[in-house]
Amino acid sequence: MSSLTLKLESHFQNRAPEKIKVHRVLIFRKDGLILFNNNNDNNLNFSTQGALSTGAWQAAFSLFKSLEKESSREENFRFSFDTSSYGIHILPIRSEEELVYGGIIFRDETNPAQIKNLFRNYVRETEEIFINETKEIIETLDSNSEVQRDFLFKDISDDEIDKLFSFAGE
Amino acid sequence: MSFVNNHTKEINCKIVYYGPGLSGKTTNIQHVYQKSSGQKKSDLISLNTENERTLFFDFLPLELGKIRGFDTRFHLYTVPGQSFYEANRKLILRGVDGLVFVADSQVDRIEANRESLKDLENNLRGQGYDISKVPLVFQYNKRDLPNTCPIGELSQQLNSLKAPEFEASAAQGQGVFETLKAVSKLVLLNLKGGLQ
Repeated sequence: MSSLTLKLESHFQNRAPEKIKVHRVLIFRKDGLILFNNNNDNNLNFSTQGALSTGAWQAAFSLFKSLEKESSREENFRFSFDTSSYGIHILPIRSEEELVYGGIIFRDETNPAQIKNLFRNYVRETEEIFINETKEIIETLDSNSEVQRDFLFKDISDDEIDKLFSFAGE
Repeated sequence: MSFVNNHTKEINCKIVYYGPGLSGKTTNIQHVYQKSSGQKKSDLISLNTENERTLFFDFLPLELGKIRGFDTRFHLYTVPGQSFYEANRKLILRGVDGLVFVADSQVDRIEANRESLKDLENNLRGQGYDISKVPLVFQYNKRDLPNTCPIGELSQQLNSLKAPEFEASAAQGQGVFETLKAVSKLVLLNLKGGLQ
């Protein structure tokens, strides 16, 4: 497990309020890739949530930009979609390289505003990890960075690809 | 999007199915979804209009198992083909690792294919990508219909890049996995070394 992931997990365990921990929390990149989630048993489900969350964010921000001619800073926005008891709240997290995003999906809450406020505080603290860990963040965010200039695979046989897709013949 | 983590031995890649409206992009990943099973089975997410046309995207996460010790996960997306959803297509192309251009083989769709390919080139360029450097595979779909162009003509009209190309009838499942395997191989061979 990368040290970034470990730090995010440790930070979540030690610093996230209990009221946050009972809900689904994810940290994801702009392309939807999950950097952290609080339920590792269900990774594929979280992949879907990452894709949908970034889609919702980007669609909302694009809509705003198309209507608002003045330049607007993405990091100043937050996204909410909620009722009086359940919903989604997404916030940008600043890093040196590019924004990543924190999202919480909550339900059965008597006071969603409190949850969103607690989550905002938690995300602000999380930003310190991203700002302090610049080098690893850049490596994580940019698969073409200097440390990764060599190709991972020099060759792959058709048999290896067939094995990956062996379920197709079932 | 590609994300290679040498610590966790994990590979994540994003493949986007692009092409004109009604060319069969969604049908492709629906077939993949139907064939996946057990641990590999995940939800197929479709953000559709009321009449089942793709509005934003379809999304299918695929857990493929290991290749040389790396757990391999592909995220398959389709874009909405209809021309007025251009803004949505741009968003979905962000971080793309591989492309399948799903062309409609019918004679009267040649111009729509060409327009969509041009649109793809422009949208990639707008995000700093050169189409000739992105892993790309062409799929000539709907070969089961009666009024199709000869493959040679489709290839000449669309595939000036000489990318791998496949015939398909996605509605019957033919050619779907051949196409996906080809683009997957190109994407994996294009991956850089990952976190040290």
